[in-house]
Amino acid sequence: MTGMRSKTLRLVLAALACAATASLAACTEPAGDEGADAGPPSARSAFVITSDYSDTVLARIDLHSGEAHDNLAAFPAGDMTVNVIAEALYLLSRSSEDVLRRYPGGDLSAAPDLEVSTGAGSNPQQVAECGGQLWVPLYNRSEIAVLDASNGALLQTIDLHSWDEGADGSCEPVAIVSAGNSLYVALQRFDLLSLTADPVGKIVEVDCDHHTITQEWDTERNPLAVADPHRPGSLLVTEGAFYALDGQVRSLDPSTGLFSESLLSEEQLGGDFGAVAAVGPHLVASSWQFSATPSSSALTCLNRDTGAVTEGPMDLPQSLWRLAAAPDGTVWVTMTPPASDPTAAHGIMVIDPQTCQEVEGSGYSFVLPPTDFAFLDLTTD
Amino acid sequence: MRTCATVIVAGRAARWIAALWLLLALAFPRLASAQDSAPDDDSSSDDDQSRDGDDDDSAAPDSDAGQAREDEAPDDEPAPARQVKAAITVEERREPQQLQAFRHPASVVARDLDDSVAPGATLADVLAQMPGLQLRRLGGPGDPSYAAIRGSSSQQVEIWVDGVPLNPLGSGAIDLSEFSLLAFDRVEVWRGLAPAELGGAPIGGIIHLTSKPGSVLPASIEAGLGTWTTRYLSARAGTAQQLADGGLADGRLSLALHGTDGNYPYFDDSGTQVNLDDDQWLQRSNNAYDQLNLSAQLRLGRGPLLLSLSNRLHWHSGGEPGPGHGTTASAHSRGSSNLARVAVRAAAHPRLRVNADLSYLHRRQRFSDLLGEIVVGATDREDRSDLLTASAIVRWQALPWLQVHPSFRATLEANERFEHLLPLVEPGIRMRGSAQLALGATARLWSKRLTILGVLDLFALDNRAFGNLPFSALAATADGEERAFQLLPRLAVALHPAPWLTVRAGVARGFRPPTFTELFGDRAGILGNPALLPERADTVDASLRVAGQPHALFGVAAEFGGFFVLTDDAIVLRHNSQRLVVPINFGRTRSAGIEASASIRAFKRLEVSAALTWIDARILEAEEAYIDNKVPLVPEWDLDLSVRLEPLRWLTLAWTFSYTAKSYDSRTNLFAQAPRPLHSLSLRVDPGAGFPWFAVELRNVADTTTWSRDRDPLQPDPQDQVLVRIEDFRGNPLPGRAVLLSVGWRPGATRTRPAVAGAPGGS
Repeated sequence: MTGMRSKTLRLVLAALACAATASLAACTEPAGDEGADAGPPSARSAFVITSDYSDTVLARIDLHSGEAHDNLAAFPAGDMTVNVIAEALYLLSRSSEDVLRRYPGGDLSAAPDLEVSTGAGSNPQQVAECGGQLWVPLYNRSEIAVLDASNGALLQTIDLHSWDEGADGSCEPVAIVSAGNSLYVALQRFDLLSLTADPVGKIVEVDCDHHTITQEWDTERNPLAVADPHRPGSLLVTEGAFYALDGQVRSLDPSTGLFSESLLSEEQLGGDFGAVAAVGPHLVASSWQFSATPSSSALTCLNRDTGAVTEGPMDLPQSLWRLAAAPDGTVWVTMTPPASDPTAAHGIMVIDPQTCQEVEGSGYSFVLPPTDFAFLDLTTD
Repeated sequence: MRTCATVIVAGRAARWIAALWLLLALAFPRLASAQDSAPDDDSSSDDDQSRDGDDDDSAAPDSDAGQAREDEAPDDEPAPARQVKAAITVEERREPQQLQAFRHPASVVARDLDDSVAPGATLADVLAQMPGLQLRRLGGPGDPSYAAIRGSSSQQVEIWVDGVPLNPLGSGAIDLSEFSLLAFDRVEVWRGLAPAELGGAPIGGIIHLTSKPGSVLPASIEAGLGTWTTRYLSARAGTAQQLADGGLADGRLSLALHGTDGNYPYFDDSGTQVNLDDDQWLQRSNNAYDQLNLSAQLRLGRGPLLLSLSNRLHWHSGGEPGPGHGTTASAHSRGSSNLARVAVRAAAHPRLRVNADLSYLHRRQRFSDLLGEIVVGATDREDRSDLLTASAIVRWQALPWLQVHPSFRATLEANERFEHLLPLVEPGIRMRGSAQLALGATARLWSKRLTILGVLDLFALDNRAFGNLPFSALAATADGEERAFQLLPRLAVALHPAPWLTVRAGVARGFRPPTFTELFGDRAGILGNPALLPERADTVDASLRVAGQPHALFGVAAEFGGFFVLTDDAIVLRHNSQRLVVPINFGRTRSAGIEASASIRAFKRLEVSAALTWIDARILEAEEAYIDNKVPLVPEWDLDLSVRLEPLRWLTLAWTFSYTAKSYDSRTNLFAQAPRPLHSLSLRVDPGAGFPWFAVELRNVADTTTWSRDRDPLQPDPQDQVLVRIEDFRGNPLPGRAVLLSVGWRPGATRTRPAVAGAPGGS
């Protein structure tokens, strides 16, 4: 009997030991690199919007290790953009959802600390910070919403209806750039009813203190604007109609109101501009050869100091809609499969703007195609 | 359309079927001789059933459930004479009809559209109670709704009306809200395998609405008014006359008006899941609609000839509320359709019957969004489509145990698009022709205990009149792709070891070429893709049916079965950033599931029925992100229960419950649509002939309109839930509780009681 009891005791102890081991194992963090278990972001990260235009999933790339963490957060929306302002991540859900969300420190494991609707059908495009407030151009409303940065409360709307074209009731504010105490807003002036662009686009300057429009400049059709790092305080303005080789990239100096000569033209590239990014004197532009069969995309680089134009990767089947300079001086490019070939490879391509070639061993891929990205640096302090 | 250019004859499944077909053909003589000498212990009951059933001269002679009755034995009685008998025996023939569906080798469920259906019920409501069907609605009363079968798309389901296909070869999904139930007597759903007479080779199946103009239709008028000013007014009448020369004439007329303000409340979180301050309840705006359905049928019979004429007119007009949390103010649509049909049935010989059918369907649909509220850009477009169908079906009782039914069907589709705001830049009329030659045979062997149905369909498509690509001078059809052929075999076997038991199995190949909209876009929200391939699918299913009436006061029917569907090049809509969608070929999907149903009727006063469907539909080949994900919009579970009680002869109480499990509305499988338990109650007071009846129906009793889900499905947390509204399609909220009051009057008529022991899934 004693032997039996002893045996039973051993079995019970063994079972308890197994259970304890299993419990400990269950408590151990999985080693996988996906999902919310990826933990808080490191000091320098890139946040990537990936989407099939039905749903959106956020991914993060650790810029130190180069490790990609996919499937961080999901949103039931198909048209989102990401911005970084003052160590916070801002996600804009554009047409059909019209929501601005903020994640301090890029921490997506918790709910956003600010979530506000910009109004049904308003179609917010970008967000910028100026004068301690958030400024959101509303594409479908001819307005800039001014929000309280602490709680997202609507403080004021800047009326842009003076620049409306056509009958759609909006001048389509599409891009916003913050520079000092001013904001520069590109007005696309695209008639959403007739689907035609007005021959004259606009760039307007907003005084952040007085909430007034102080200057305006005419552009060619469909202007877009980003900051020009080569000429501080200036804007790189991309213009041109869709399906026409009429576009160009110029630099606008708001202090003088003068545009530079054309830096790159669609005629040179043989296709519609996709996007541009600038690193120092280097300009990288994507173009879409819409008349080719099948249509294709290409990258072209310009050294603004020497005027040298260098061809980059050509005849790519993917669309290259988003380009931006990374902190390390490279240019990141989103590659999105075209509708005609949804199985085409997708991801982020990293370009050396000096050689205009893909950086060897670089590039990132995700479950869904990337559509936008932004860099968050938490080491500035 | 690249693969259309090739003749697809081979394929593993086709070879198997061909081999099986050959074996069966060799076995037939032996089985036939066995049949002659076999003890025929249940033949008398079979014959009785067949004679009873054969008196149904439905306006849809193609209906195979009805056809199975005619298959039993060629009748010597002239059709008109039988028709008079049929007119008198409306009550008597229902049971054999159900029983014939019970014995059919194909997977069919049917329901009589009689008083057992709630007065305000729609076709979608009726279909939702059937096993194997999934209903998808854009909103409340009058809003578009679509049916899917066994995880198919709505385009893969063909809708037929009295033997006429409205979307042959899946040429567009048919909106179920267009139909008024009053104009029909029965709905049959063929899951997977279609009978030879219906001619189609759908991937999902066929929904067949049939009417019986030969019955003495009691004149009736009814009206209803309910929540959201939902209203209807309908009337119908029919007559059957024996002519002086011995012939028969009968006719039927029905009129239905439906409408609603559609302004039901719905939950709106303003797009913000976490921020509760902006949550609100809004009224669905710009959602009113009105609809008219008018149908007339006339039939003349003399001697061996029977001539049927019918015309069905539909018109609707309504606002378009659009998806999203915004509202629209002016977007609206209106449309009309007219289906005219001439059919001749000739009993050329006691063993030979010929049905010839000519129909013409004209549809117009106009969508106006002048403010760009729904689509990008202003649009005021109109689609006009025409469909001309001619068919001939021969039914030849070659041998006592073998019926051969060759058939031919030719269709010509034409589509023309107008943009009223801009000059027309697209080519004019696009056309597509198709022809289908089918050879089918039904063998009843072993004292009719074994039924074998085999069909071999040859489809030919002619795309030469497609015209040019949109906004281009290039031809839409490349060289070598102008014609396409498809060989589509089907085989089904039913074994009846006992009168109360049927064991059946079937295999079928389905096919659906892209629609005009999928190929060329709709000039609004859908961009065309002329490079689309046709969808193809193979289906295997089997089931076991039990039905009986062990006691005069007790009847039971049940079916349990499973299916497996493998679809290649499934066409799905892929979103882009401009709120537009592009149809693409998906790769491969498979759908497997179980269908179970049962109905019990006791003491002539109580009927309980249940239907349960389980489906596992998966994406097998696609972009890597979606592989092994579930096919969107296919719920895993679907349970329907109903109890119908007649405590008094003039009082009927009914309760229905449906539970639809969650499903995903996109291929990422990230965000689920709500699981929804819905209860409905109805009460009907019907004093009897000559007195008005009164009914109250309460839908969605619990007012279920919202549910809680994980804020982020990638970070599931029971403590981090958000409230969202219930919807089938993203952005289109479904309504909550509604009441509908109805009154009606049938002067001098008796009630049409539901069947006692219906086919599984039916009443």
